[in-house]
Amino acid sequence: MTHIFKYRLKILLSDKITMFWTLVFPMVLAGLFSLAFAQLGAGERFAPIDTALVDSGGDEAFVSLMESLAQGDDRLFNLVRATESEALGLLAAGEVHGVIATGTPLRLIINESGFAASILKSFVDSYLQSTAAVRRIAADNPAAVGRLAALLAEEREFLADLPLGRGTHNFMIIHYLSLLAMTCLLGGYVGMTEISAIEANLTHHAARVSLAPVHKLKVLAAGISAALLLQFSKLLLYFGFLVLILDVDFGSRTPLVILTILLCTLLGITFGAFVTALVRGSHGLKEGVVLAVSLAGASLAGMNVAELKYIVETYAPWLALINPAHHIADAFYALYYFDTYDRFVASAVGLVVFTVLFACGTYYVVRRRAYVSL
Amino acid sequence: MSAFKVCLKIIRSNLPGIAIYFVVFIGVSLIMTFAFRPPAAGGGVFAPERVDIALFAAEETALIAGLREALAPQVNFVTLPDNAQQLQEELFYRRIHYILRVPAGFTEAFLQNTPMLLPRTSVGGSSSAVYIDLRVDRYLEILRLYTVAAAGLSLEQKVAFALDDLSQVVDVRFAVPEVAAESRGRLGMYFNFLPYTILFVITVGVAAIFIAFGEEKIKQRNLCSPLNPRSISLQCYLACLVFALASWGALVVVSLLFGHQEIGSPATWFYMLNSFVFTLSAAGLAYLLGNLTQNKEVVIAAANVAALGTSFISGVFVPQELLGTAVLRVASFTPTYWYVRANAAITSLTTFNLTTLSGFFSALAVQLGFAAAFVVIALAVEKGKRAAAS
Repeated sequence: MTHIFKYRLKILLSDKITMFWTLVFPMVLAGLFSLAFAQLGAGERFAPIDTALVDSGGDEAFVSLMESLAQGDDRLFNLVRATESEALGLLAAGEVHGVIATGTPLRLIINESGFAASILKSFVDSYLQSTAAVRRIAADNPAAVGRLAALLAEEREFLADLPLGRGTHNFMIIHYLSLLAMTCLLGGYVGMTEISAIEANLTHHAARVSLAPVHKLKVLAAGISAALLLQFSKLLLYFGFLVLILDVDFGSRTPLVILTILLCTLLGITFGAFVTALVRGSHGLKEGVVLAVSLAGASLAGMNVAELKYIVETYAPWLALINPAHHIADAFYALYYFDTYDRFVASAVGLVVFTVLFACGTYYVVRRRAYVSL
Repeated sequence: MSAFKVCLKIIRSNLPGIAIYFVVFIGVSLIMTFAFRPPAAGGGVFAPERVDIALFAAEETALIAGLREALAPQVNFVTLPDNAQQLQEELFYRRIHYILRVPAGFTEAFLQNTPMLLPRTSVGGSSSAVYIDLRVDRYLEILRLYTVAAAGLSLEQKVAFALDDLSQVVDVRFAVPEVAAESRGRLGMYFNFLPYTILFVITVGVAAIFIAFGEEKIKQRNLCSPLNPRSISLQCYLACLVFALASWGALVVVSLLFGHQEIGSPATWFYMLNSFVFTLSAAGLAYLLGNLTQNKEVVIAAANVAALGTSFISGVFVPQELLGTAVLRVASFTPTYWYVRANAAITSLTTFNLTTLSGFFSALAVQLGFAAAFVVIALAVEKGKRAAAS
């Protein structure tokens, strides 16, 4: 068995294509994620909002405020003064995000909701609310007007962030965790290789091996062990890349994270083995199934759009239940976020159930398989 | 056109594998399209979304009652026990998005103008949490004005005035009230996710042709044939194009299944035109990748990196306005970036004429340029390989 283990390990190490899918591809994607998300959390990049101002008179204070906020490098607006018809033309052409028209009432005209429209509305609402308060105070106590200007200019914080749990509730990590889930499932390619190596109808090598005086289960066990060792090593390398190079925070429970990676490695390998044993068709078709399920599963677990994970959980919980990528992502997130282990244990049980299902399914299909001719 | 017919036969024989990717990617695109409420475009009132929050107040005063009233238009108050583990779980599964706590003595500290902060826990990156933060800040800021500058008023009066001031909001109107907002928004989102599917499916489908034609014996037989190698190349490209356009057609049909009421809108036709032009550049890229290598796994790997990688940095999943300048600069060297830019231009337009569409047509022209460039480079690579072989 040691002999078979050693040579299976050598064969797997020399398989460059599988090495790409299970190590290089996830690293490239994680690097691209890091590039795309680099500016998201910091919130320091703010592009001035293109705005048209229609001044019909009567609100010089507002116009003066808008103009002051349209000056300088850190301006809030790129302001264009125009007539109403010109401004609406600019809006229709998409050259401004909104048109603010002075008068009573103050009007905001937009094409669609979105970041820019929300900021414009929030700004104008603040102005109206502050103005109403100032007018009321000034009417009651004119002497206080001088003090109001200083108060309005003063920036005061009223809220403080209070993290609940071990980690911050970080959307971005969902992308990395679902990418890790996809990487674990792409370990199915390694499982495919191992099953192909013992199923005599799939490869010539397997046909020769089936004639050898070694029990099929022994050959399979040696092959799966080699696959497990190699795939686990690759995932540890990938984990190290995420933590040390890309600075992704997996929390402080590193030993449990590594144990979860081991469990997910086994899940991925048994998944690939199951697909190979079950799916009748060309090698390309089986590869397609592994890739499609991994990509789709990871997408639904939040790889492309993080919120999709929670939308699926809320509106289609059955889809989340049958998606192994979802359980993988949840297991890592539970370790990252929760103080207790309840959620992690629930996800880990899901992982074990999937692994056992795939392993038993594979064994049931391949056991005692005989061939009339090859 | 014998080479063309053979290419189509090869694609037909690989259809089961291609169909799996097609169905899976369309399924994920449709889930993403329908899972998200599109930004309202036209049609009426700018209405804030209501967010589920939990509020734990260690004291009940007129100030706190006023805070609840100030938040009421934007939130649903969810009653929960103040248990850390349960609250973690509620946040984790998005059953609530925000937890606000009012510590004991807050009202007194506020009236004394002594700094005391309200601890809050929110789902990171959630835009709804930002709105709640703004609302709390506005209420307390206005109340502070009354507290400092109108000290003679009672707390109840100050709160009542602050709430009345908070009700002052700008009159928001959409430029074109009669636009069918929701389905156009959904179409825009569906077409925005399209590059991911198109690039991957076309590259995988086209790869099958090059793998077949790349076999040594097939290559040698073709060299002996009376067909000009250039003619074979062009017929292969034509087959790629036919497959690409068939894929595009299938995706457009899917879009019309849920967006058919928008068929009369010019925006729909411009989305289709944009996706058609993008398909041409995707076909060119697939043709180039197929010429660079005949190893199927390498082509599929390249398709994945091209589809997923360019989609991320070009604004398919993360809006372009949120991406960094450097990232967008890199992305501008891909056709996906220009496709997303053109798509966004159409979504924001309410009037369609040559002036308003100039940005859109520029983006189309760039995509066509990419398509031509990919094909030219592919033909050059092929000629180079033939020359090296001879």
